[in-house]
Amino acid sequence: MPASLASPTTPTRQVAQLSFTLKHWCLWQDQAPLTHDIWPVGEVLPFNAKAADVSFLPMMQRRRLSPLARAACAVAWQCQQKHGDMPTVFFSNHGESQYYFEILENLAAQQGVSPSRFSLCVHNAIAGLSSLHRASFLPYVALAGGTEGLFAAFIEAAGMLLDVPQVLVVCYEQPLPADYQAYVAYSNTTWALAMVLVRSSEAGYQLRLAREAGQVPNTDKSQPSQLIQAILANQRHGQSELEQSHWCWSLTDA
Amino acid sequence: MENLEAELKLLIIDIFELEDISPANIASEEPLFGAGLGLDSIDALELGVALKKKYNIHIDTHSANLVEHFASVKNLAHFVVSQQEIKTA
Repeated sequence: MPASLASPTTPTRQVAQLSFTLKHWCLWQDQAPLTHDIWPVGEVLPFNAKAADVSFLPMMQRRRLSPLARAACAVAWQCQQKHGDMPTVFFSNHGESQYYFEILENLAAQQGVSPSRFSLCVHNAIAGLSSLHRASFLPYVALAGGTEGLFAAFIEAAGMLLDVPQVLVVCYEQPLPADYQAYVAYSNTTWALAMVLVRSSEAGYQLRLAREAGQVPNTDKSQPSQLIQAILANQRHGQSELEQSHWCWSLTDA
Repeated sequence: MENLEAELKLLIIDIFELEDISPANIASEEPLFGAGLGLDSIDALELGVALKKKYNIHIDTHSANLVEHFASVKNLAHFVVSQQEIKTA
């Protein structure tokens, strides 16, 4: 084994760091915003009576969008309008959980399953719809993220940025069906966040993230994303406690 | 038959969530798939499931005539009636 890959003899804190230049962001959530003081270089889309506005799409494309898909497609669309087409990381811990739970309930009751709901509940369904709407021919991935939460999307984006100059990250989440809520962490709102990220050597707002490994006891299963709350309150740094790690993040204008 | 056609139009609007379309916008002879209304292959599957549920009819997916049966509201209505006649015969 090369010396550089050898494990340290005294493993103490394992910290991994990522940094990006944030070119633009766009957020929608199903609650009216409390404040107008938000992070720079971005926008909050209108609350629009709990359904993100997708009137830019023809009706035959709109009709298949769940509330979650509407939110994700709306924020991705806005970022592409501003910065053009680019490779994309789609992220959601639980995806179209309302759809697949309904399918499982139907199967349990030995009833028929809706073919279109089935096609729309797979984890890359929203990614596929969004890339069709945006006529994107560039690569995308659809991540579930496991215990890293939405920060998994930033790890993937950092990897992609080794090959391409800019990456779109689209994260989206909705409340889980009640039967699941005792078992895993879930969002208590429906929201979608898109970010246009470029390499940190470019000028602009620096988004830095640092992961520290370690078990975090007693994480509350129902919690809003601290990052989303921070963006909406123009809080420029903070941290998120996850099951097996915590992530510190900051946005600075240097 | 006209009542059945009207019922099928409502069913199509309902299952495909065609929010901007009313039954009057769907002509009975108009193609449902591709051109015309513009439904796609997933919609065809969905329509098959809905017909089976509502009219309790069997749809043979290997039937050579299936494309024709699903071509328009008028053809669908004939298909539903013919299948119901087979069942009651």
